[in-house]
Amino acid sequence: MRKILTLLALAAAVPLQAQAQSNPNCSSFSNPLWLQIGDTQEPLIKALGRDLKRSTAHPQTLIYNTAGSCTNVPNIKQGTKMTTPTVHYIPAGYNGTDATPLCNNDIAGGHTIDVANAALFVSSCPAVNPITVKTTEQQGPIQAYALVVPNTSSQNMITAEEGYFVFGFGNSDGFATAANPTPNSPWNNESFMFARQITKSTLITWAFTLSEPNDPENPRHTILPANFKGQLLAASTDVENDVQHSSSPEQTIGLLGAEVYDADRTLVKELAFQWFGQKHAYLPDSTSASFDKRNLRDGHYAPWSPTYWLQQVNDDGSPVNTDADFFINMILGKQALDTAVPLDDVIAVGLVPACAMGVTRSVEAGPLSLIQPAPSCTCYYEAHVKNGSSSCAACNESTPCATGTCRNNLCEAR
Amino acid sequence: MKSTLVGLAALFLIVAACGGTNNNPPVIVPDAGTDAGTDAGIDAGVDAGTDAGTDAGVDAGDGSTLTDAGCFLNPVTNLEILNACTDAGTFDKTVILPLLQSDGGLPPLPGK
Repeated sequence: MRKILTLLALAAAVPLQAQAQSNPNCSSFSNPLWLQIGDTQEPLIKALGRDLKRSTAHPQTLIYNTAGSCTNVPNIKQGTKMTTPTVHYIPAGYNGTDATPLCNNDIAGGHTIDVANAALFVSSCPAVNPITVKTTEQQGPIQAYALVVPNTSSQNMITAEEGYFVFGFGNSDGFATAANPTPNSPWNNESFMFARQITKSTLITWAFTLSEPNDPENPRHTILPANFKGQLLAASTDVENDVQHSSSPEQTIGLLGAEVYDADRTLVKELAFQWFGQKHAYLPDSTSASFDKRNLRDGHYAPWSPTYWLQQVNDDGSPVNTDADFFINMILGKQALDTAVPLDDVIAVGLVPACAMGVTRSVEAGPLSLIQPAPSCTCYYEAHVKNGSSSCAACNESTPCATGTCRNNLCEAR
Repeated sequence: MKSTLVGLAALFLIVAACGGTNNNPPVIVPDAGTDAGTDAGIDAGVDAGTDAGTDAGVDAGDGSTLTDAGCFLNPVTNLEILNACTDAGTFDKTVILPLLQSDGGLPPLPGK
């Protein structure tokens, strides 16, 4: 019997060993850039990685691992190395969307994090102490967050107050009372509430969004990330799978980054959201078929955070790794590439460039205020987003704009 | 008759611009114009209010205007922005929250 068990164990181990042996060593790649990112940003990294791999002017191999935003921030600020045995990389000929292969992390002692990412305000993460590495934190494109249900659920929307009870009370059921034992909300069973781990931007942003706004005259009731109710899952794909295949669709709800939902909208259904003080609920997009994030951009859809991109810098503020700086500037729309327009990648994966926003905020789930970015890219964004169109006037050298500024052959407001 | 039709059309535009209050499924309002951008709803609201010739708005005192339909033109504050006039589809439902406080505030979480 013992022999059989030993043989079975060996048989099980062989494929894993063979797989590890078939992976290339990470040290074998030229011009590597090591990233530790939130998994909501993986579609962006795949797209940019494809373009950088193809580039002749600035060829690079992106090597990356995913972790929670509030893991990535302290890791880069404290000089933590990337030591997991295998990490993802972008191979030659990669198409920008498929699953990425792994390489064996053969760097002795692990590799420095060249670029770290948080998909929420860095200030929302616990303070880092001590900080041993000097970094910059640059605000990038905007990330929408979504609550999703199975396609067969009859639910189409949720209010912030309802969400507070759902994810703050969980099984304790904030909807039923002794006098009224019948729950008024379908989402009162933590077994069917699919959330994320507490370092993940998706959970933290929703915890802030569902907490009562600041009111100096009243105590503020908040959902702390540590008190968020539901199944705390490691990956966005886990949430998507569990919601899609739930055995109790009407009771099921999950948290996602909107770009994960946008990548394949047939799997689950997005809920419209009504924030505190709002009179109606809205989707992030103007319709369920559009990808224009118009309601997010004009302030009707409140669950969003900016992404942040961190890199190590020297005492004088100059980048330690100029390739890291190059990469971040691509995301910020400040750096061109010979093989693609990086801004197109940002737009294509469902992020909103800051230059296309009409509102802003300064803290997580903070109050919104109007902005007029300059230079604006609203026309470009609306023209290039999936299923998009722009009503902005076309322009060129011989046909100047009647008003605004001609940029990318469209008359932008600024 | 003509003025009645103009008034009805204008009233429709006000409602459209400020979003409907229908229950699920969402109300998808036809685009009020060719401008698919952020300004489309606001423009439609301004036109509607002017054409209607009625008391279509109340000066909110900060440069914004609260229309009869309950949405804001030229929003300034957070709440005005959240409730600004738009032609985007809206969703509404009645949620009964027995533990909500009498002033609409949230109760503390269990164990707090």
